[in-house]
Amino acid sequence: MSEFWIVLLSVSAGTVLMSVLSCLPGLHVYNLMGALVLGILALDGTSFAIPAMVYLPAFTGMIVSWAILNTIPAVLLGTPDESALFTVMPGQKYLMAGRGFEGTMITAVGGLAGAFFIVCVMAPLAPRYLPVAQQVLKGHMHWVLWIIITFMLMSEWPKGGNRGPAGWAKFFDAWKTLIAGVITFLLAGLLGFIILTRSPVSHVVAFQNIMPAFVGLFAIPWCLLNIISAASVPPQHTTTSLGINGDVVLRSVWSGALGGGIAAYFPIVTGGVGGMLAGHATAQRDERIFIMGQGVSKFIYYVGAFMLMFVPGLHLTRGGGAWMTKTLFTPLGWADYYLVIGCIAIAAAISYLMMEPLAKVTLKFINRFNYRHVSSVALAIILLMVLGVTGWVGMFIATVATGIGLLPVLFGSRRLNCLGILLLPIACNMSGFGETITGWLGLT
Amino acid sequence: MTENKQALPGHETQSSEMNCPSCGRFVGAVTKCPYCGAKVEKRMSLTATRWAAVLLATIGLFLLWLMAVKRDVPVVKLGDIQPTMNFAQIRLEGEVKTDARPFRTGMGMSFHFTDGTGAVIVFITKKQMDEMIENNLTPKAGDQVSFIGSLNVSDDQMSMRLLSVKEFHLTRAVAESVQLADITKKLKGSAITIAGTVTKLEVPPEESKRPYALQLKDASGEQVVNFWQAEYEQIENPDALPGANVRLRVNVGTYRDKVQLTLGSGLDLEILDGPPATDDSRTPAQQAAETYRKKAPPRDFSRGRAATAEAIPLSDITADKKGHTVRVQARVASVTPPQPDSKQPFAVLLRDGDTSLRVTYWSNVDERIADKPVPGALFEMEGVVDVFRDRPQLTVESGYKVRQVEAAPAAPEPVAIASISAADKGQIRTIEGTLGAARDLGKGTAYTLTDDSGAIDLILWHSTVPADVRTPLAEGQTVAATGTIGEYDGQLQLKANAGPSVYILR
Amino acid sequence: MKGFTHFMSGVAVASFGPWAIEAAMQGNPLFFVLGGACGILPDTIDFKFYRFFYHHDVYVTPDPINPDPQFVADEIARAVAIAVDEKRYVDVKLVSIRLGADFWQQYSVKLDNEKGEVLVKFGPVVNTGQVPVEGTENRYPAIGRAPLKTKVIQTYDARLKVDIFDGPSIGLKPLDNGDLDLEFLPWHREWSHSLTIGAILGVLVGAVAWLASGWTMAWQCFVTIAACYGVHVVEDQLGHMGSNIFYPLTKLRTPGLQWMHSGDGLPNFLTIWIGCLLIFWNLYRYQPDMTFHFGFMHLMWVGLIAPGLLFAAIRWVLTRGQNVAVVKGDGVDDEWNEMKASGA
Repeated sequence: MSEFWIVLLSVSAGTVLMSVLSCLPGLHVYNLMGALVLGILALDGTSFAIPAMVYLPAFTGMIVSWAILNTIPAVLLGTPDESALFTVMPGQKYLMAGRGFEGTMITAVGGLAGAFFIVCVMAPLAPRYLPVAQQVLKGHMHWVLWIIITFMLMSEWPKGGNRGPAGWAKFFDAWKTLIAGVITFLLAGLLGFIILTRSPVSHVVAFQNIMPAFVGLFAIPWCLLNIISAASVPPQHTTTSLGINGDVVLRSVWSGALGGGIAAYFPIVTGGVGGMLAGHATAQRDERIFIMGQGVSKFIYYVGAFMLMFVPGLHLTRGGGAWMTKTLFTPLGWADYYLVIGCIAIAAAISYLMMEPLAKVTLKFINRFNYRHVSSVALAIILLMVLGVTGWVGMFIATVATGIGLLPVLFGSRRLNCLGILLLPIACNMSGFGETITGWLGLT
Repeated sequence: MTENKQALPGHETQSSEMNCPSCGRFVGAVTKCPYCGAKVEKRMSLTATRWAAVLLATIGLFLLWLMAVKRDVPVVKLGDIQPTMNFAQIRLEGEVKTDARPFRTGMGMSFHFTDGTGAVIVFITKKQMDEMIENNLTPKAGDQVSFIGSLNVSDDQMSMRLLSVKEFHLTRAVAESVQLADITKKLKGSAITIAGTVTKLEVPPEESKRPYALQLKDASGEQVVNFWQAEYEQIENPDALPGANVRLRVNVGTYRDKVQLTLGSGLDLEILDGPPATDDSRTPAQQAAETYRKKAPPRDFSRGRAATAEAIPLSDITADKKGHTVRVQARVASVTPPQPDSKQPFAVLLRDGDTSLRVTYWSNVDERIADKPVPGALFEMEGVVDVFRDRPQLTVESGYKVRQVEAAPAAPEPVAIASISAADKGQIRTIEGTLGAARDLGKGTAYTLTDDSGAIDLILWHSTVPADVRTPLAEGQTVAATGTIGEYDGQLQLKANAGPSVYILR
Repeated sequence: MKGFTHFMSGVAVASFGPWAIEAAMQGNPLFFVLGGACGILPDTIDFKFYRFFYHHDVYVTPDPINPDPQFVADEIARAVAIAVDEKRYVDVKLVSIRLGADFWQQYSVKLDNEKGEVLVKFGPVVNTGQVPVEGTENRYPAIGRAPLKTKVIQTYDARLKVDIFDGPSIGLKPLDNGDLDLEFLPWHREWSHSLTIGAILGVLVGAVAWLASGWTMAWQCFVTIAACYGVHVVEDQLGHMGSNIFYPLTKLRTPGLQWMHSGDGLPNFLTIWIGCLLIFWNLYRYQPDMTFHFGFMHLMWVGLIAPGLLFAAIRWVLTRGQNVAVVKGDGVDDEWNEMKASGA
C-alpha cells in the first residue's frame, strides 16, 4: 500500500476512534496516548513493530478529534449542582436552558475555525517567523510564566460580599473564595514541587509522572461532582441554525488564537490558561463569541502545540502529546511538517462532521441513562488507568490531588488555580530559585 | 423560585437545601442565611465532601511529602535507560568525560558524563553553576561524580538536568604533576599539573577572539598556557601574574599539530608565594622511579585496581610489545632487592619452563605488595612491557598488581644421596651432607656434598643464590641444601634453588 | 479597558526599562511582574478592597420572595430627599436580587427629570451571563413611581440596571442650584485611579527596595510602578467615566475623552496586541547574538498592519450583504459588568 493511503487510513482511524472515546467524560487524549506509546515501545523491534507512518497520523487525528469533540462531555455531561457551585460556565448555561446541542456545536465551529487558522495562517508563517520569535524570547520564558501566575491570581474577583453593610465582615465574606483560590494554588504548587523533584512514581514510568496528579486535580473531582450532584438535565432541543455569522467567527478566532497561541507556544502554560486569556480578550456580552473563542483556543492549544514539534528550524516540544511522541520519533524536515498539516486538515474535517451525530447520540444517551452512572463508569476507567500505569503510588498521588482539586469547586474559587502544580515549580526553577525552595522542603 | 411564579428552568427538582428553611429565600451554598441568619442544613454528602477535600489536601500532601523525602533516589545505569523514563529523577554514578563548559550566555554550563554503560550530557543552571564554582565543585574530565538529576529522553538524544548541588558528590581525579619539557602530544586529552614562573602574559586585543597566552618557565623548559576572558576573570589577582610563581592544572590538547595547554578554570591557577617546591622527602629509589617514569611511554591511567590487563604467556612477551600492559603468571626464580643508597629497582626473575622474564619495580611499589615474591612461589604480575638492553622486561607500576597465586613449596624432607637416581631429574630434593672443597665455575661455585650413602655435586649459581648465602660456606661444614636434580656429563648434580636454599647445620 | 488589557499594557510599559530586560535575562522577573500587577492594580484596589469598606447611607434591598418595584422607587426618592434636606452627599446602594445559583431578578431604575420622578421596572430573570430566561419577562409588570424632590442630573449615559452579583452604587451630590449630580460607582476611581497615587506607591516600594538593595533598585522600582500604574489611568481616561487624576490634589473625577467604551472589543484587542508587539521589540533590542535582524516598521507591518488588512478583507468577504450588529458597550457600567462577569 502506498504511503498516501497508509497515512490517510491511519489519520482517519485515529480520528474516528478518538471521536467516539472523546464522548466519555474525564478521559483525556494524553492518557490514551501514553498507553499507546507504551504499547508501541513494547512492540518495537518485533515483527509487530508499528512504523511512524502509522502512529504519527493516528496521534495527530486523535489530538485533533479530542480537541473538537471533548466539548460534548464538557457541556452535556457536566450538570452544575446549585448547592455546590457558585457559578456556571457558559456552555453549561446553554445546557440548563435546553440548548446544550447549540452550545456544543458553536464550540465545534470554533474548533473548525481554529483548524483553518492553523492550516492556512499558522502553518505557512510558522517556519518563517517562529524561529525569530524563539530567538528573541529565549531566556524570557520564566517571567512570562510569572506574569501569567500574577494575572491568574489577581484577575479572580470576589464572588461574595454582595450583601450587608460595609466593613470587615463584608470584606471577609468576599475574600473567602479568593483565599480558597490562593490556598489551592499554593497546595497545588507544593504538590508540583514534590512530583517534579522527587516523584514517588517509579522511574520506569516517569514519563507519566504528572498524570496521576492531573487526573486527581481535574478529572476525578469532575466525575465525583457529577455523581453526587442533585440537579437533573432539562429536556434538550436540537437546532438547525446556530445564529452565528462571519463577524462572530472572526472575533472568536482573534481572541481564541491569542489565548490558544500563548498556551501552545509558552511551556507549561496549558489550555486552561489559554482559555482564560481568550475569555478575557473577548467581549463578554456576546456569549456566542465567548463559547466559540473557547473552542478556537482549545483547538489551537492542543493541535498547535503538537504541530510546533514539526516546524522546520524550530522543533519545539510543547504539550503532553509532543513530549510523548518525541520518545518515539524525531521530525526531520519539511516532509514531516506537511504530513502533519495535512493530517490536521483531514482530521478536523472528519471530527467536525462527526460532531453533530455524536452530540445527538449523547443527548439521546443522557435522556435515557442517568449521567451519574456514566460518570461512575468514566471514574472507574480513569482509576484503572492510573493504577495500571503508575500503580498504587500513583493512586495515592491521585487521591491527594483529588482533595486539592475539590477545593475550588466546593469553596467557590477558580479551578484554574490547580495549574499551580506546574506553573509554580517550573517558574521557580526557570528563575533559578527552585532549588532553594526544594531545599527548604527537604526534597534536595 | 418565588411565590406564585412558575419554577425557573432547573429549579423544578431543586433540593430544599437551596432555600432558607426560615424565610424561604434562596441562599445557595452557604450554611447561614444572609437574610435572617437562620442555619441552613446541607446534604451530608456535600458537607462530608468538603471536609474530605480539606483533609485529603492537607494531610495527604503532608504524607506525600514524607514519602518523597524519605525515598531513596534509585541509581540507574545509563545503559538501562528506556524512553519511558523520560522526566525520571535518578542518581548517576560514574566519571566526568569532559570538563564542564559554561554556555556562551553565561546562563549555566554542561558536562558529559559516563558510567561505562553509556554517556549523557548534564545541564547545570546558572545558580547551580555559581554555587559549584564557589565550592570548587566544577566537574573536570576524569573526576568521579555521583549526582541526582532529572532525565530528558527523546528519540534521538538524552540529557540530564542537575537537580541539587547539595547532592552532587565529586572526587577529583589526580592530575599528574609534569615538568614542562616532558609535555608531549602523547599526553593529549589528559589533565596535568604544572608549575613554574610566569615570564610573560600576552593579553589579546579588545574585540579579538584570541586567547590570553601565559608563558611559563620551569627548570626543564618553557610552555604557553592559553585561556579566555571567562577564565581570566576567575583568576584571583590576575595583575600579579607577570613574574609570579604559579601552579596550575591544565588540559593538554593539540592545535595545528602542536601541543596546546588550556586552562579550564581560573580557579585552577594558584599564585605561589615562592618557587614551586621540589619533593625532597622521596627516597632515591622513588626519585629514580620518578625519573624512570618520565621517560616511560604513556601509561593507561583509566584502569583501576579491579580492571585486569590481557594475560599472556611469558614466551609471548617480546620487544614488539613494548608499551603494552600485560599480565603474566609464572614462578619466581629469584628476587634481587636494590642495594642500599642505589638507584636500582627491585628485580624479580620469573620463569616458566625455559622462558624467563625480568620484572622490575621500585620501592614504592614494593611497599604495596601484600605477599612479597619469594623464589618458588607462583606469582601473577601486571605491568608495562619495556626493553632493556634489547631484552624485554616487565615494569610493574602498582603493588596491587602483584599477587601471589601459590606459595613457594616447603622444602622437602632430606633424602640419602644413594636414593637419588636419574628418574629424579627435575625434582626438588633436600640433602644433608658435608661440603667438600669449593670449585669456581665462573658464574657459580660447585661443592661435593657427601653423606653416609654417597656423594653428589652441589651447584650454586651466583645469579640465583645470593652472596650472603654463598659466602659463609666452607669446606667441612655440614649443610642442608635444597635444589633441583639435574645431570651434567652423565653425572647427577643438585642445583641449589634460588634464594637461601643452603643452610649451615654445623 | 478590560483587566487583561490594563495588565498587558503595564507589562509593555515595564519592558521599556532596560533594567527590566537585564534583570529578566538574569532570571529576575520582578520588574515585569511589578509592571503587570501595577497595570491592573487600580481596579484591584477598588473592586477587591475599597468597595467592601465604602459606607452607603441607603441600602435599597428588594425582597427576593416578593420583589416590589414601588419599594425600590420609594427608597431612591427617600435618598434624594435626604440629600436635598441635609445638603450632603448621599451614597445609595442598589442591592441585587438573587433567585438561584444562576438566576437574578433584573430591575432597572430611570430618573425622569421632566416629570420629576423615579421609575423602577422589574425585568426578566437573567442568568449570570445576563441572558434573559425565556418566559420571565413579565413576571412583575407593574412600574414603581415616586416623586423626586429635585432634579437629578446625569452627565453621562449611565443606565441603572441591577442584575448579577453586586448591585451598583450611586452618589447624589448637591449642586449649587439645588439639583443633585448623580455619580455612578462613586467609590470607583475616587482616589485609586490617580497618577499621584501611583507615584506615592512607587516611592513607598522604592523605599523598601532602597533598604533591601540600594539606590539603583529603588529608582528602578519607582519608575516601573509609577509608569505602569499611570498607564492604567491614561487608558481609563479614554473612556467615559474618567478618573480623579491627581488625587489628593484634585477632588473630583475628570470626565473621560469618550473615545471608546471600556468593553469595546477592537480597542481592547488592539491594545493587547500592540502591547505584545512592543514587548517583543524591546526584548529583541537587548537580545545578544541575534541571527535575525529586523526594524520596527518591519515588525509593525508583519505583526499588525498585514494581519489587520487580511482580517478586514476576510471580514468583508464573510459579512458582505449582512447587517452585522456589533454589540457595543453600554456606557460607564462596562467595567462594572466586566468585573461581575469576570467572577464567572
